[in-house]
Amino acid sequence: MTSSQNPLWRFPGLQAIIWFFFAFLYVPIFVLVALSFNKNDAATLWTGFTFDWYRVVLENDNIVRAAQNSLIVALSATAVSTVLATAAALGMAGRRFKGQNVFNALVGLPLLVPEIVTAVASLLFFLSLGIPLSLVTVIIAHIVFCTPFAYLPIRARLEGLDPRINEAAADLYSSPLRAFWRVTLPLLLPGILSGAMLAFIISLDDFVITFFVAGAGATTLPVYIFGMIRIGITPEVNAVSSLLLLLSIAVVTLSYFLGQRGAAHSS
Amino acid sequence: MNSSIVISNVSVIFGGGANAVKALDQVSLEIAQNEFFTLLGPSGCGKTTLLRCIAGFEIPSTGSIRLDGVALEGLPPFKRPVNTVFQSYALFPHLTVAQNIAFGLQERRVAKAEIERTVGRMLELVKLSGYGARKPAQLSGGQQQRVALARALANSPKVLLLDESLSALDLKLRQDMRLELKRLQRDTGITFVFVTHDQDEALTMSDRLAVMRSGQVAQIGTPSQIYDHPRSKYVADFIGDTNFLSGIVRDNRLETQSGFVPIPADLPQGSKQTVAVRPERLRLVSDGGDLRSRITQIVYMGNETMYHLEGDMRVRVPNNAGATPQYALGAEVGLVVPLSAVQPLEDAS
Ligand SMILES: Nc1ncnc2c1ncn2[C@@H]1O[C@H](COP(=O)(O)OP(=O)(O)OP(=O)(O)O)[C@@H](O)[C@H]1O
Ligand SMILES: [Mg+2]
Repeated sequence: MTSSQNPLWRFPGLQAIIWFFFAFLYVPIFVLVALSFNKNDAATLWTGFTFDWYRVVLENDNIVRAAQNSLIVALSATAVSTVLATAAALGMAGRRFKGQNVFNALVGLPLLVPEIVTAVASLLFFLSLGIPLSLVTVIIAHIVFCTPFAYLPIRARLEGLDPRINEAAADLYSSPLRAFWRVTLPLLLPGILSGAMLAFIISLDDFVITFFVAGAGATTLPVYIFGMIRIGITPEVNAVSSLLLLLSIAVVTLSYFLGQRGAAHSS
Repeated sequence: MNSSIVISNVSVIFGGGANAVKALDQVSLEIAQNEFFTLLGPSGCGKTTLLRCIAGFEIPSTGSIRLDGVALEGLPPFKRPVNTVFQSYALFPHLTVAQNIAFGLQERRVAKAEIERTVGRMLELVKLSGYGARKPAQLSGGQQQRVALARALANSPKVLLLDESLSALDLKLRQDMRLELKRLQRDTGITFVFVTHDQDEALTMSDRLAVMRSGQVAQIGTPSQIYDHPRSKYVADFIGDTNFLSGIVRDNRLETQSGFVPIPADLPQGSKQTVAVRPERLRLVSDGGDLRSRITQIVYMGNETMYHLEGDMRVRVPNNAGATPQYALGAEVGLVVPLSAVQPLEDAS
């Protein structure tokens, strides 16, 4: 690394800064995971290895219900927002019209709006329409903010496709609908998968918006963890957090390999 | 003419306002059933655009295209009995070579056994047997081009549109494929519309060809009509090597700076005129000749020798075993210009 020609590497103390950066990023996570196996329930003192906290977590009905809610919300939001994002990307593809840039900006803007603003706005929206807060309101809110995330990789993939390929399908007697099934959709699939994975992770992990628009009994895992923390950081919290981390890593890994397969298919 | 394709007054305009591009400008031509028709012209002259109009990917702003007497307007590409070999191949990257070739047949619900037979035959035709299970990304450019050809041919269309479809092949393979295409034309009755930059290919393969120039048809004719009787400087220059001689018409001869050239009788007296003469039709002599000039460069080319002369002229002399006299660099020579080799051009010089 240090032998690089890049003059930045000669900056004194750079390596130390890099190590500090990575330590700051990852050591807390390692500590959290490690402590979830700690026998001692005074969270910060290591006295031996145990799986007990995971058993406690899985036997806690409230946590299991929160996890179920999280999955229901994440799966529904992913499904709906991915379909919406795919439709939007297809509608925008290969077309030039007035206000196209405005449309793209509007789709992307929610990524820049502070989450707390979206949260308050969503709450206001539901209240003013008299919609009672429940799991459904959570799902609706998640669909809305997941769609831009799903849209980005799908559109990127679509823009990378050769428009002549669709013409080739039409040339070979495929109606537009058939061409979509046989050519566009299979080629778009890696983008759709990444979009869906992104939406899933974003939804699974959301706290602020969910906290605002969740009705009674619609607690998701992040919101529940927040509630637990107010009582104190217990090994139980560490265990739930570790499980959430594991799920995220699993989804990202899966998406990576599916993406690789897709790329090998179609590059 | 028993016309299969009739193109009348087709114009295509891309963009609008100040930066509008007239890709095709009032193009009219007829292509006969089972003809091998070539569109020849420099890059950007509208060859691909014309093919795209026939295939249905481009809607002409004016004019009409008829196929076997039926107007194609309003008929979407997937309903036209026409197949295209795309300039960029446009193979389906997620399908194997065999699946690519089978695509059109599957879309028309041809029986499975029949599809399998056709795919096998096509693979053999383009010399890719054994490659059926590969993905396009695992093929070389030339192999991909042959798959594109097979994919279109498999459907035995009424009209096959080929957009520079032999350009990526090496010389040997290209010659083989030229023969194959000509054989297919004879055996199948398919009408071929072939786009190429390559004038040799155009001359050797075509029944007729159209030379195009910035969206317009400059001249249509058989290869020998185009080569021997180019009507404009543009066509004469684009196909083969040509000498241009300019002068004034006097007494059925053209008075040029370096002498008198015989010309056909029907040109108006006293008018300015340019004629084209192919370098291989001129004869070098030591004494006399219609024109006098001096040799400025001699290029030996194996079977013939190219003499460059003062006044921007070239003469090609076959090298048949010492039978022809040799001329030295700088020597003054005469040029014999046979009347039959002189092609008057329409555009004023
Ligand atoms: N979609 C388009 N939008 C705007 N201009 C276009 C478009 N397609 C083609 N043109 C223009 O129309 C003209 C004709 O293009 P075309 O592709 O038909 O040329 P070509 O003869 O096939 O050239 P080549 O031999 O390089 O393939 C060119 O000037 C090109 O820039
Ligand atoms: Mg072209």
